[in-house]
Amino acid sequence: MALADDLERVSASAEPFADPNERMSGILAAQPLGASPVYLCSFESETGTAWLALDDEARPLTDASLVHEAASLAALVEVVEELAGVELREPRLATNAYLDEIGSRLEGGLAAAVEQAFPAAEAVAEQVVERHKTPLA
Amino acid sequence: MEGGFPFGGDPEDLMRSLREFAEQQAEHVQEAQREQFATLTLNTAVELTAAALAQVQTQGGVDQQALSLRDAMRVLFPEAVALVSAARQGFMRER
Repeated sequence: MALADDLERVSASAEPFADPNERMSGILAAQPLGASPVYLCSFESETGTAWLALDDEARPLTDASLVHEAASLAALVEVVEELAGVELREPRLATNAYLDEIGSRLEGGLAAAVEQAFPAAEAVAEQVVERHKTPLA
Repeated sequence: MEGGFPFGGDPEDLMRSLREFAEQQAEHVQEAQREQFATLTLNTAVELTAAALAQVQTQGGVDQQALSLRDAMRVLFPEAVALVSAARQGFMRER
């Protein structure tokens, strides 16, 4: 329940960042190596999706590379879960250890999957940084 | 793995899938909140009902007292649930 509690807490802090024409639509949790958990909140409007990355204290992140890293990790995990046929019933935190664990179930191995998924994951991460609601440096 | 690669290696498809997963997690959180709300409401209603029943003055034999308490409970418990639920919803709206 700990992650669900964190998602609830961070979601509540992210909601006020929604513009009048937006709604907070989702939340992802990722923890790059050597970093604290990063919560990527999505906001939907008629013009598309905007993102806001918050730290464990529910404060908006300002470090573009950390946001990029977290989004890329979340995207890689998404691809590898799909390849490994993982069906999730509970929220999960995307970490390198989790990526290794589900990657070990792949016949072709994790390295091959990551190699193929990497360009798309990087493109997704760039979009998250570009469409971030607060300034990143 | 060629040909079977998810999302066709397309960033837009991957982004769509990521957004859908993010939405699922947000829905899971909302569902957990609703369950927590329902449990808290019922627990508080039980406590309120028990406290109210302790104030009820019953007369007669054991059987008559049991019937009186059951009748009181029939009225008190739904009222306590409604009261606590309304109070909590008011609280939730203010968040």
